[in-house]
Amino acid sequence: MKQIAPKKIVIWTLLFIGAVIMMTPIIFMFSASFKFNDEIYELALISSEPTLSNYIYLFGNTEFLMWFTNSIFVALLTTLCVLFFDSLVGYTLCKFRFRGRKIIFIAILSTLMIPTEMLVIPWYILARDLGLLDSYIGLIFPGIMTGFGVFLMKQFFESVPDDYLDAARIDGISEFEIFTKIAIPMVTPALSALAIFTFLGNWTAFLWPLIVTSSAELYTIPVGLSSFSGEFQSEWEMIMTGAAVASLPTLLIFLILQRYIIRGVILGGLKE
Amino acid sequence: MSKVSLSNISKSFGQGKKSVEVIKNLDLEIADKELLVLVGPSGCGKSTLLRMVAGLEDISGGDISIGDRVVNNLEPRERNIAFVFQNYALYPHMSVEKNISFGLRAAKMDKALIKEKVAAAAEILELEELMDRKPAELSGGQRQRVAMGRAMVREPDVFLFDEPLSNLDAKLRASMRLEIKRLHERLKTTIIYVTHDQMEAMTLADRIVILKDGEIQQIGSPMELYQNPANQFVAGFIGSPEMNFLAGEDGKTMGIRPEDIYLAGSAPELSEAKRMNATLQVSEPLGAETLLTFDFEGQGLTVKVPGVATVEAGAEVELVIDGGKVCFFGMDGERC
Repeated sequence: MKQIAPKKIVIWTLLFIGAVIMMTPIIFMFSASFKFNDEIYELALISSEPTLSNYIYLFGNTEFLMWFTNSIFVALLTTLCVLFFDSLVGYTLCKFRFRGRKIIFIAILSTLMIPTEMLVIPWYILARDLGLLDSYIGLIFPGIMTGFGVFLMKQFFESVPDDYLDAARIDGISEFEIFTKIAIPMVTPALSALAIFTFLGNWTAFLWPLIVTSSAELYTIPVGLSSFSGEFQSEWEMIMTGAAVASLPTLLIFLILQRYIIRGVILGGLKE
Repeated sequence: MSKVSLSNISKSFGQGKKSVEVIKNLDLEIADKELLVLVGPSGCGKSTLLRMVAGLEDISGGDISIGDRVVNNLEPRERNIAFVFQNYALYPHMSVEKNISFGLRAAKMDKALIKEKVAAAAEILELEELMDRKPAELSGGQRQRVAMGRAMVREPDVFLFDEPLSNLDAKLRASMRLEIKRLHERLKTTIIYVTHDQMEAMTLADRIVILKDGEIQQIGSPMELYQNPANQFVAGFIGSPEMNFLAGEDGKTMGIRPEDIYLAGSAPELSEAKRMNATLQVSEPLGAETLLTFDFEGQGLTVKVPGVATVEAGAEVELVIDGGKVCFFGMDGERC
């Protein structure tokens, strides 16, 4: 029999422990979604009486589908805005020389150091003064551009040689077309990563949607699910069922985009 | 008509005290259909000059004309030029066919006409089999040909080549050099070609411009430059192996090419011959010829002799210099 190197055993053990720590809450979430309320605090993964009633109730008797649609709409639109604006600003800061370029970049970077909890008050005042409270635009506007995305895209554009852009200038396309047709296709790994981060961040966002929305028809999933949790008792089986359904789109997005990220890593290792 | 005129061109990078002038009041005329090679050591400003003609770099002063148009303020696309980059700059996400046709599609040319032009270029450059491949799936030589195809289909007034062969190995470089020369004969278009390789310059050029520190050192046909260099820099730059320079007592430097020195036994009859003794240090047989490096009064001296030399290292040998071919340079490096 082939001997397994001790180093590999250590690595696999560590990976296994990591996987257990990561997977247990997820497995518990799916497991709890098939349990009745009185079983919810039992640790058994498989219920003695598995039931689909939570799912039937979630889709039949709550506004879950509306929250789901709202979440999809808000997360997708925010992600699209972030991809467009962050890559455009990152590209401009990277590839054009103009006065004040460094100061603008530092100013954008410095926004990374301010926590969301501090920003919600100015956001709220802004939304109130502009009449954006309790609206889709109100939900979306704080996230349409992020300092992190600008930084990430700028760093990736650094790896795109200027010769490609010069070749396109000689080929006679406009600066905006150079950005969309030449530069953007060369940074798809970064865009994929940014898309995943942004989508996940907005999909799970709780604080700002909770503050800015007051009508139930604008609730996103996290805000909607919180309504299952009352002052005296929480319907954990419903929260877990909602969370289980809510995790599916994120898994799907990751499965679709991960190959671009992996391909990006492989391509980045070779000199063109 | 697609002659190119550079008149009193200058270029500085940076501002104020930190400003560096890389091109200094340069005048140059490139005739219609001429293949002009700009050559010089790295940092001499040759690529900057080419990029200024292309419109990729602003000019700090002077005028650039292509044909009868002053193009100073025109965008690259309005200058009707084609540029072949050192790293080819083929769009990695597009097929060969898309790469070649990109400029034509951008110009909204008729689709049938684009197809026709791309097919013609592919045939000339033998790219027909590769049209669906991506640049990453091509060899260096193939990428080079695609880059030339992309330039060709535009039917430009002027081709600009920026060290296009420097990423290829020596063998491929020689064959691509030939291909560029053939292409020039066939297309009869003005070409400005930048290289740091004097061999490439010698074999390709109708005329060579030698640049150093942003200034023209000499302009002329390859043989003019070889036989009649204006200064010590040109003399040393053109020719391989390099010209020998021997310091004289009067401050002058004597220059003599390795093939104009003979071993005493095999020297032809020369109208003006100088004799000297030197000690052989190294012998490098190259097959058809042999390079001999001598020590002459503490100075190195390279001699190129045909065939195989039978001299032993360490032996003192009498050498004959063809006095008619000797050049003298003053303290300032200029010919005297």
